[in-house]
Amino acid sequence: MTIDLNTCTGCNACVVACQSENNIPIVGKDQIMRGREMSWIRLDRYYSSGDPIENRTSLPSDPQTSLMPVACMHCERAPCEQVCPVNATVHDEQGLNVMAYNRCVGTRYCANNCPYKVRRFNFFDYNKRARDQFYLGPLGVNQFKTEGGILKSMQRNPDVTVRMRGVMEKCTYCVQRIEQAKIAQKVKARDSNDIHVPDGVFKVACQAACPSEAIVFGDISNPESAVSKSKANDRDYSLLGYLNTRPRTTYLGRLRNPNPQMPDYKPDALSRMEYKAMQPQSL
Amino acid sequence: MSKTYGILALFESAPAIYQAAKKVRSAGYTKWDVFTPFPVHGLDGAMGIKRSKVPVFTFIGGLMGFTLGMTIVWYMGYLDYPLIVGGMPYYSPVFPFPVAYELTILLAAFGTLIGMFTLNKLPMHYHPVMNYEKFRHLTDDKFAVVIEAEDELFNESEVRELFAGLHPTEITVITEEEKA
Repeated sequence: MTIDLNTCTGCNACVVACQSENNIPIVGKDQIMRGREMSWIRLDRYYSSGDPIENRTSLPSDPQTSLMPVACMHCERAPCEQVCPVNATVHDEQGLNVMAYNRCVGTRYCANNCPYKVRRFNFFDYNKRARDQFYLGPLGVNQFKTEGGILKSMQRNPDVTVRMRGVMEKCTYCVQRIEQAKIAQKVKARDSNDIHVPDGVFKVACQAACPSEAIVFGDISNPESAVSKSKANDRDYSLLGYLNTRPRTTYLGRLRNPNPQMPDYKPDALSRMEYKAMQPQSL
Repeated sequence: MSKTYGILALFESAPAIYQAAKKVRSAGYTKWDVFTPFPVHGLDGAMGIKRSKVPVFTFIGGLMGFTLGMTIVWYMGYLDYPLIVGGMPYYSPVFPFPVAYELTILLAAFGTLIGMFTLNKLPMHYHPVMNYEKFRHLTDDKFAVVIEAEDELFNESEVRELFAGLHPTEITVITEEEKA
């Protein structure tokens, strides 16, 4: 997967699409304030103004916003996998970092070791309990047995597991869509044995929802695929790549025009080196 | 029916048994033993007993433990249920080292114990010298040398002559019941 930060407008469509595709529960304000949000893809925002000295003393009056959608990177050398005592999160042979919900015992070591902080833990039975009854536990009403709860459960995507309390979850790269595409290709191939899924026959949920087509997903082992071509771009970089996690999701860096003749020009810090050079020497 | 097991010479002190053991050894006997109520320092040297073979059992046990530990991890991680965890190899000799190390120590200890019991022919509930009427003194205040009848050089008069030269308290023939 690649995400083009140049075209991303920060519309949050990917976040909503992921939420509906992957049966991600809505946990409510109280849980969000405790840092227990469940969204698998989030939109990071970084604010900066043209004046680095003003940045230190006050909130910038006219900040520039940099946006970055962050989901599980499916790292090749995944730090989360190394710390799982029960091997509940491992790689499959197609390169996905997959979660075995049944194997997970909820130690949350993986979330602690994830440098991207994209793993989400089910602190409560978010699907089974009403939002005001999380803390009642088994004393609360089982939503799966109420009429309204049954109706609500019909909203769920039948291809995706509804997770229970005590398991970790995260972006799966919409593994259900990948598998459906593979099965469809196998049906189509029949005896010809041509089971290689062609590029672009399916889209993951966030990719399908992205209005600016900033997200590209595909088979990186195929050099002709759109995602391979996108990764070949000069702007391609890995988030926290210096940690040697080898993320599968890479970003195409955002470009700005630093020409002072431009009408909307601001003396922005465009790199860490420039930012340091702009700092007052006394500090 | 009883047969001769060997000839016993009884001594009163540790230096006497030490000298006696030296003499018996230099006379060329191979199947003989010394009975003392406590360990006498240097007696094994005087008897010409070679270094114990227990370390061989220890080494074999340790080697088996190390191999077992490595094999368990290799079988599970590489053969039976390979999982790609964090891009690591299925098997490497580095990470299962603690397992192999612990099993090395465990099986080495078992090997030592088994080796000690085997080489000492333990548990031994009967020994022909127990038929000697003063046997209980051998665990208290007396010392004895026994030359077994099975020794190739065994000759009753020669053994008696040798023992007489050592001035023991008494010389006795030990008999044992023949197995039916």
